[in-house]
Formats: sequence, C-alpha cells, structure tokens
Amino acid sequence: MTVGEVQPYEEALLDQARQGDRRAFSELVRLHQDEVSTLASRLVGDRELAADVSQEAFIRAWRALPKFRGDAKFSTWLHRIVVNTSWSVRRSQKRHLASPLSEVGQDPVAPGIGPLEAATVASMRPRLLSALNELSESVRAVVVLKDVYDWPHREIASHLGITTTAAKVRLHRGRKQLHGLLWDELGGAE
Amino acid sequence: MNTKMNRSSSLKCKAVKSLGPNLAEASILPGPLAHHAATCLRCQAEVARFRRLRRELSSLADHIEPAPSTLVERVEQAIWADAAPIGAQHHGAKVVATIAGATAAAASVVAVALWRRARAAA
Ligand SMILES: [Zn+2]
Repeated sequence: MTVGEVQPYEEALLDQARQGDRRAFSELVRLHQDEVSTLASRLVGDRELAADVSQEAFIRAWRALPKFRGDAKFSTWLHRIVVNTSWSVRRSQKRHLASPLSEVGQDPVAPGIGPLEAATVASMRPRLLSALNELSESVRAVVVLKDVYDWPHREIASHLGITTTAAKVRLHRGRKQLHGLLWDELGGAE
Repeated sequence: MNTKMNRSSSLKCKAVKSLGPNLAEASILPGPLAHHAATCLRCQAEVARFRRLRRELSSLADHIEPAPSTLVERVEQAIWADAAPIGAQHHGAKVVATIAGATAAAASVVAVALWRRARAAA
C-alpha cells in the first residue's frame, strides 16, 4: 500500500471502528502499534511497562473513539492518549510502590535494543537511548516530547500537568544532563 | 598583553559555556560572544556538541521500534470483553460507566504489571 492509499484506508477503518466495528479497530491497532509502543517505551523507559501502557492506551482510544472528530490526525490523537496513559500509570504505580519509576525500570539497556546490538552498533543511538533512560521520568518526558516529537511547550505542559516555565526548565536540565552523559559520543575533549 | 588577551578569551569561553543547551539555537549568542565563538575552537566544539545532541534526538522520531508481538492480541482480548458503549454518544450515566470502566482497566493493567515484576524479582 502506498502512502497516498493509507490515508483513505485509515479513514474508512476509523468510520467503521467509530460505529463499533472491533475488527476495524484491530486493524488500526496493527497500523499504529509500532509508533505507539515506541513512544510509550521512550516515555516510561521500561519495555514491559511500555507494553502495558500501549495496551491501555489503545483500550482508552477504543472507548473514546466516538469523541474523535478528526480535528487532529489519528496518530496525533493516539500520541496524546499514550502520554496521558503513561502519566496515569506512573502515578498509580507510585501509589502502589512509593518509589520513583526510574528505580523500577532496572534494565539499563535502551528500549528495543538488545545488549549484543548495543555493544556492536557503532552509531550513537544505543547510547542516546540509554542516556535518556538515565534521566528522571519527568525530565525525560519533556525531552522526548520536545526534542524527539517536536511538541509545543504549551501542549507538553498541559499534558504533564505542569506550567510552561516548568516544562522549559526541565528541558534545559535534561539537555544539559544528556550533554554530560554523552560527552564522548558528541565529540569529546575540548 | 598576551596574558590579558588569554584572560579575556577564557572569560568569553566561560560566558559561552554558561549558555549550555541554548547554544544549539543559532541566534542565541550576543554580538561580542558570537565574534569570539567564530574564532575559538573550544567554543565551536561546545556549540557543535549541543547541536549534534539536538540532531540525534530529533532523528529518533524516524526510528520506530517493533511493538511486542502480543500487543494486538492483548488489545483485541480487552476490547472484545469490553461493554463500553461504542458508536453512541456518551451521556450521563454512560459517561460515568465508561470512566469507571477505563479506570478499572487501568488499575488492572497496573496490577498485572506489578504482579509480573514482583514474580520476576522473587
Ligand atoms: Zn571560547
């Protein structure tokens, strides 16, 4: 299927799914599962939890589908649900465990990258992903949404329940931390 | 004379460095600092590092990782078991029921995740 054909296909699926067609919705899940899972993984920094967030986000999307009017792209709408879901899952997890999520996600290897691949791939990406995982959850979310997904500060702030100024402060802190963590990879010695 | 120039240069280097991540923005440096940075290798390296970081982060947007193989199946199981009123407009009691259902689903997903983690740790 070409890029031009995907849009009408997706719109047809959306129409059907809005009317309660679960098979059409399954197909939408199939189309968007990788991007949803990737975003969840980058936000929560733990593959297992990211799988739970992705599942929950799709369930919420199914329930909210009648409210989706097509003002934004379906993928943009889904992304917002993923961000909100990862945030609420994180909050309820904090209530259960009374410990920050960054301590729970124990896997130091970047999401989606096995230890062998991380060791052998010369590109900076594996190190970048693992450095992102070293940031605190709240700082990482802002860096991911701004610098990877190019969300506006205002939208980031409203989804994370913080002020725009706080979002900017976290972004600055996160970039500075990444700069320190990735010093060698970014060009190293002065 | 040389010492004086070196000191002024090192102060400018410090001033440039203090801008930190903002250095990735092309227009951030005020006139005199921009002039210094144009000729100072140390400052150029600092600017280059922050710009590269931004490029690398932005390139992650095109790097999509495959979802877990069971995700579609897990979502299907959940929505086939779901009695949420799809297709109809959500009003009054239906909205409450939907929100309650969504909250219960979120709680169950978290509970399962926590149980799995506790089992793995045991
Ligand atoms: Zn300098």
